[in-house]
Amino acid sequence: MARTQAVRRKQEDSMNLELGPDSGQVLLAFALYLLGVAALGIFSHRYLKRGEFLQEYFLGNRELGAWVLALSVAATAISGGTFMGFPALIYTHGWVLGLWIASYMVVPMTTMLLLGRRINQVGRIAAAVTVPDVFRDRFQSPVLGVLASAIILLFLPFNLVAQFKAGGLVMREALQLRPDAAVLLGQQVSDTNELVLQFRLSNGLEVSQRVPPMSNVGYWLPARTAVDPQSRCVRVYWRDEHGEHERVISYPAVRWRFPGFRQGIEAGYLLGLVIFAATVIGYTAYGGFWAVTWTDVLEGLVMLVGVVIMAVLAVQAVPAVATEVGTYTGLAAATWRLHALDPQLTQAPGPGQFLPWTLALSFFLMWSLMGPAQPSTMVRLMSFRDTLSMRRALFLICLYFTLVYLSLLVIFTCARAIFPTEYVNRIGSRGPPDSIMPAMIRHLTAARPWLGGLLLAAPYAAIMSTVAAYLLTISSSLVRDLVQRSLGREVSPRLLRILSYGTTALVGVIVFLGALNPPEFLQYIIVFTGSGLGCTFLVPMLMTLYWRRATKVGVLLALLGGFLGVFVWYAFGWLEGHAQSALESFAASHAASEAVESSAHRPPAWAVWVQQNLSWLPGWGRPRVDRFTPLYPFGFDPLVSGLICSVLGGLLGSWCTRPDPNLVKKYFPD
Amino acid sequence: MTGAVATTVDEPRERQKQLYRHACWESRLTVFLWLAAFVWTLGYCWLRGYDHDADALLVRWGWAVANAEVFPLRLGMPNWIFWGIFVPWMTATLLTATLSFLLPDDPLRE
Repeated sequence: MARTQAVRRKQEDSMNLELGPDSGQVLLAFALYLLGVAALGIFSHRYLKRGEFLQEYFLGNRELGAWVLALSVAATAISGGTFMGFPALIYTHGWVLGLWIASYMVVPMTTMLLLGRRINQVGRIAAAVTVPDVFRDRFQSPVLGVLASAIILLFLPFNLVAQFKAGGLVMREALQLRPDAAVLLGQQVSDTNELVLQFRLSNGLEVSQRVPPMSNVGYWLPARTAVDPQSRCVRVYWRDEHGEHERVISYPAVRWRFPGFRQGIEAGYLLGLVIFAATVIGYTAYGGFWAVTWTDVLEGLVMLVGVVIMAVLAVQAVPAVATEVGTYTGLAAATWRLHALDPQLTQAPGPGQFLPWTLALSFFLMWSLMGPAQPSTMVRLMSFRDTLSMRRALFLICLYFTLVYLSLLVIFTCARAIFPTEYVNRIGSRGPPDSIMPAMIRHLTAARPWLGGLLLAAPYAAIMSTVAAYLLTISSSLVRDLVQRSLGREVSPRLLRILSYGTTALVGVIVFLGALNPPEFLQYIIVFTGSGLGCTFLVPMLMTLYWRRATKVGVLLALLGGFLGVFVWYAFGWLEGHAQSALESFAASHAASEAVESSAHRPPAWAVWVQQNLSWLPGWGRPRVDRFTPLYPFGFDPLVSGLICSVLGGLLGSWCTRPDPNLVKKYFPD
Repeated sequence: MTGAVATTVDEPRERQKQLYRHACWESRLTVFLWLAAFVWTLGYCWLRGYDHDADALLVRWGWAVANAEVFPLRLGMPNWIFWGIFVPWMTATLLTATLSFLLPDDPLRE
């Protein structure tokens, strides 16, 4: 009651919005952070007036120093997935995530040393501003430049929509709006034993909340359901062999009506998305590369400080365990509790066969090789000032990744010990596992909401830095590679400026509109685009930089091989998922109308054809977590096939053709 | 006179050669260290972090374990995580940090 009275209500009658209890302090901390970001954006704009506009706007005139380079590379690599999806995976699957992420131990080396010095050298010889520029100039091939740009433009918008969604979700957590003052219209138990609660919102929209069964055996007690309008929640009851269990379900969130959205849009998410989009599009478009890299520094520091503070608080928050061999405290107590809960949480492959060795191997390749091959990372390597900056950045990045990833592993192992069941994949849960990061922050900073705001800024910063980098990569592909170089027209400096600002802002707005109705499968989109771009560019770039025998045909085949080697397995995965669901919905509708003549009911022909003719593919028919997941040929992630196809294509194409001796002489000084 | 001119012309080329050689050496070193981390981490974790058939040859030789090696905990971590991930991670960090002081510098602008 006292808590209810303490709730600070800030109601806007027309929109029906009320802020949560501690939102004031959280939002103040957030606002300070956003002000810092905006100030850096404005300051960066001054740099654009120095030299050649495109070099400054997209490449920072090759003047990145050690700190900016290090934190910019690190902050771009760490995305919304690192702070939202990864914690949820640690919480759900335990210590095996240490093996899943282990290759980050060599990422500083593969990022800075594998390509760094040489791509900077080649970039300067070619006067390249973007990654497609490097391919185009090294082989004097406009086709290579356009193809590389097209692949970037194909993959990155997917990733941006997912990142925008994550940004909106974090801001929604910071706002903590109260649920709608809704009315419970009715309830029923579905065929899948879910309890479906039907509500009417205060603006007249009708929405339903599905409550999953609390265990495999048992049943709902709808007659016992009780409504608590004061707290805006419903108490529902489940009975099984252990007795009766209560679960508290919040009223639905406030939703606003919008044309084209039958169910409206959740107010907290939309507000969060608008704030996120306005800030990140604003500073990226206005300040260009310098704004992105300087805000990366601020964002990188916020992330680092955030996770280190959280790790200390989390270890202190784990209750001690007394055993026969002594008393465990801190991280040892957390590990002991996880082992008692389920021994699989402390060993490989983890609960539900999460990480068989084939996937462990795939993920080792994924993080250590795909990260450095992202165009946004390569552009940073083309733009450092001198090799001293590169060496210092190498030192900073290796400390940075070690602190951030080991801290995250510790924090969310402790989170599982503190909340053993509450966030496990909805079963008897307060929320889905993706919300474990904000939930843990609120738990650890209950007495200091301002600190909660600062910590919540860490995932927000991670998402912002990635989005800004990708926005600039897309607009540079459009302006530099397609308009300026491929159309072959003289473009005035003034028009180039307008095009650069305008394209960056326009891409941001388009992605914002896509994120209004975002897909559910955030993490898989990020993995898809990361491995797709990585496999497309890693081998071709290594050939371009180090192999004098490489030819444009070889690099072209390597690009296509890497792209197709990943893409086809995702395409087959989507196809199988859709065919499966089409057949399942046919079976359900057929069972419901058995009395109707069978000739009127035939399964969709395309789905039957797909199932009959493609079931020989490796990985076909295996259980799938989500319809966006790919097929896993022989248990490996598609990136393994992507890399193999890229290497084979590169070798075959280069051996069958001859390199241009003049270009070899230009780019290979010895 | 001719010699002096040739030296001036060749100097940038020499520096570019040096830069290229250093870049090649760094990339080879990276591949070697990546392979070492790959073998250590995946090898150790596969042998000691996963369960194996008690009759398997590797178990009888004492290389692998029948049940994953969780206890004794080390710094609060399961034993296999400590030796298979934490120790190589620290080693890699130490090596990378050392390399960052030892690597040569080259002028990039000509």
